This record gives sequence, structure tokens and C-alpha cells, in this order.
Amino acid sequence: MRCTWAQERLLLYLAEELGGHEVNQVRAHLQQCAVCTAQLRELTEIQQRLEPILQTQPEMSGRLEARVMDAVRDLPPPRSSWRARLILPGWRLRPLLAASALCLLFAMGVVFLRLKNSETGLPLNMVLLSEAHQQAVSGPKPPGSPTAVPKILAQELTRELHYPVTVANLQAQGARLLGGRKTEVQGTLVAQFQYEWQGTRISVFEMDAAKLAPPVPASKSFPSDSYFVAKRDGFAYVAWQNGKTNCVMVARSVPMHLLFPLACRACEQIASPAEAHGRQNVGENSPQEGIPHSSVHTQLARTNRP
Amino acid sequence: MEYHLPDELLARNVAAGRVDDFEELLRRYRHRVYRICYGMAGNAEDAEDWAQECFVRAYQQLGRYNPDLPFAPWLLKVASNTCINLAKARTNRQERLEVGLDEERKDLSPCSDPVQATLAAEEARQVWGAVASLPPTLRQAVTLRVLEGLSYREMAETLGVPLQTASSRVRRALTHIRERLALRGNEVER
Repeated sequence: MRCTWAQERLLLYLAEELGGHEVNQVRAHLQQCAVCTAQLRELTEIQQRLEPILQTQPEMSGRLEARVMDAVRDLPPPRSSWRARLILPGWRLRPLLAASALCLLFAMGVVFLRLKNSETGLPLNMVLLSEAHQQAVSGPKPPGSPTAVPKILAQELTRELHYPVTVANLQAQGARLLGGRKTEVQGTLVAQFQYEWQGTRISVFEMDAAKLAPPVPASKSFPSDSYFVAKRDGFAYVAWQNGKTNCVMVARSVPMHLLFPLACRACEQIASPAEAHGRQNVGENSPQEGIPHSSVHTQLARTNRP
Repeated sequence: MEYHLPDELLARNVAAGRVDDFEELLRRYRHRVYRICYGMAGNAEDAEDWAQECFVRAYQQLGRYNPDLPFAPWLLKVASNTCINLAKARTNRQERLEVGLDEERKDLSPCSDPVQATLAAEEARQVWGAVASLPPTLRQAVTLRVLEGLSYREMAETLGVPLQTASSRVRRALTHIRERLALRGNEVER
């Protein structure tokens, strides 16, 4: 074995980052090469000499954070590149968040919880939403152009359904709005919007809160930031309340840890029509209005078992 | 129930316009970025200026960050590349570096014996001088490996180079430092 080959690997050998086969080869070479053995010793000594010195630095002043934040607040928001717009959302949540979502799903079970009748509407049978979702997926694409203007779509449906409808613009999350329509669920007309996300269809239903009520837990602490999440028969559901409307996001075969952040974003958008309908360009959505989304609060629904 | 938001999610929030979330990222990474800047700049004053520049650059480039990938290597890459550019632009720093070291290091020596303290300070001065004499890419390599303590694999990922390249840069840097320190020692003896 040549010394050049071995010397290139000495530091990796010292750091124990060589593969097993190469470790044996280097070790065998060192046993018979005084030059490489000497170089290994020199590298070890110089590292040991440098480490205590280089790893000691003066403390930085406490001004760095203030200086940086002053500087960035004067800057425009970061611009996304065309590549970033094509990159589908990487909701690579840490295991804690994913595990927490799974724990919630496990605790709530795979069957739907029954609540006492809501004063604001009849309890919604979520299974019917999955049927409506599947009908939309298997049928032709919904009316409206692929680049339907959310604001116009919202105005049309508000006129037809007689309650405020907002269309979430999820372009920044990589979800393309295909269109929207009114559909009947449990004898009540609701708005249904179709999105295409990572090759999968997602439906968002908006319904009059006075008529239909998904089992969203009521929270005094976080009235506008509570969600009901469930999975059943391969469908994932995320529901939330938005004042006069209740909303449910439905998708098939989408992991909850991917769907949930989309739903949170849709919740923010629907709560802030100006943001949802006013800005069409990717990367320019500003969370200045609407619900601050620095944390997620979910609660289990109370159950009234028969 | 509140969640400790992961770096990747915070970065996405910042890219979407939530400037306040950048402050949390800044709080989490300020020491690491400062260490890299100190290793590259060689003095505290420049290190803090360079650290500020690194974070500003990172903020501006967050629109291009892919949240599918870990945030820390991305940030360290932005910081180390920024430092490379700043180091290349800096000229005639050797005297300033040594003077700065004199002022800074006298308080850092753990020795109570004044003779030992002086020797330790001189040793530190020579080592930092040797590091400062490295070309920027080799200085970057020794900063990431020795100061920051990255593994060679982490270095390779941060710099976007093969594992062997990362290891090779560190080896060349250490060899250069060792030769320079040996040269200084011979000059002192003469």
C-alpha cells in the first residue's frame, strides 16, 4: 500500500471515521511504515497542542443579537428563488412534534368522538366529508381555472351559500388551488375547495357554523387555535372553527404530520381574508394580520359515550 | 401545550415574513457562528462584525433554504462562506491581529505564575498567528474541525465537499501550522 493513500486517511483514522475495511488497511500499513507512523504522531501532537488554545475565545459582547435584529428589521423579507417555489413543502417536523401528533391520534382512537349537540350546529359526520372528497377526486376537476383567483371564488361562493367564505392561498406551501364548488353534506350546502399537493388531492370544506359543527374542542385559552385531528380508514381530517364558519381539511393517504401544518396555514389564511385574497405572490404572505401562529394548541374533545 | 419549534420550521416562518422567529434562531446559533467568525477573523472585534454579517446574509438567503434539509449545516455553510469572503477582502491584518491578541489574551491565561502566564500567552500568540497565516479555505477547515468540533462528515456536509477533501484540508492546515510553529521556535533559539 502506498504511503500517499495511507497519509490521506490518517486524520480520518485518528477520528475513527474510516470504514472498517480501510481501518484495517491503514493499521496494517502503519505497522510496517515508520514514515507514516511518524506523521500520525506529528498530527496527533499538533492537534493536542492547538485544541486548548483555539477552543478558548473571548466572550462576545451582549450586543450581537440587538445589532443583528436591528439590521434585519430594515431589510425586505427574504426572497424565495424559483427553485424554492418548486420545492414542495418540507414539513420535516422534529420527532417531538410528530410523536405528539401521533399520541393525540392514539388517544382519540380511530373512531370518531361523539359530542353533545353543539348550540351552533348539528354534529357533523366526518365520514360524509371523505365521501364528498372521493367524489371530487374521482370526478372531473372542479370548475374554475387551475389558477382560479381565490378572491373571486370566495365572493361567488359567499353569494351562493349566504355565509362568509374565504379561500386559503396555500401556494407558498406548494398546494395548488384547483377550484371550488358548493356541495351537499348531511343535507346542508357547504363550500368545498380542491388543492393539489405533492400529487395528492386535498379538500378543504367550509360550512356555516350555525348548521354543521365538527367536533372541534372548545378552548377558552386558545379559542381560535384549537384543532380536531383524526384518522380513519386511510383518511386524515383536521377541523377548526373560524367564527361563523367551521372548516375541515380532508386528504387520503397523507401523514398527519404533513397535513396538520397545511391545515394550520389554511386556518391562518381563512381567519385573515385580506391576507388570503390580497396577496397572490409566493413568499410575500405576511402574518401581520390574523392569528399569530407561534405555537399549536390542541385539546382532546370531550366525549359523551352512549 | 406549547411546542419547541424546530429550526427548520422557524426558518420557514422567517422566509414567510415572520422576522421575530429569526431572533430565536439567532439565540440558538449565536455562539457557534461567533466561534467560527473568531477562528476566521482572529480577534473579537472583527469576529462580532463578521458574525453580524453572517446572520444578515443568512436572513437574506433564507428564501433559498430547503426545509427538507437540516438547518444547522446550512447556516454554518453560509457563515463559513461569508467568513471566507470577508477574510479574502481583508488586507494587512497580521500586525493588528497580534496586537489584538496581546490585549485580549492576557486575561484568558489560567496560570497564576506570571512567567507561565507569559509563556502561555506567547504560545497562544504564535498559534493564532500561524492560523491567521493560513489561506482562507485551510483556515476555514481548521476552524470548523478544531474550534467548532465538527466531525469530518459534518464538515464535508457543511462545506459541500467529499469526506476526503475535508480531511485533506485539515491535514494541510495542521502541517502548515506545525511547520510555522517549528520555524518560529528555531528563530527564537537563534
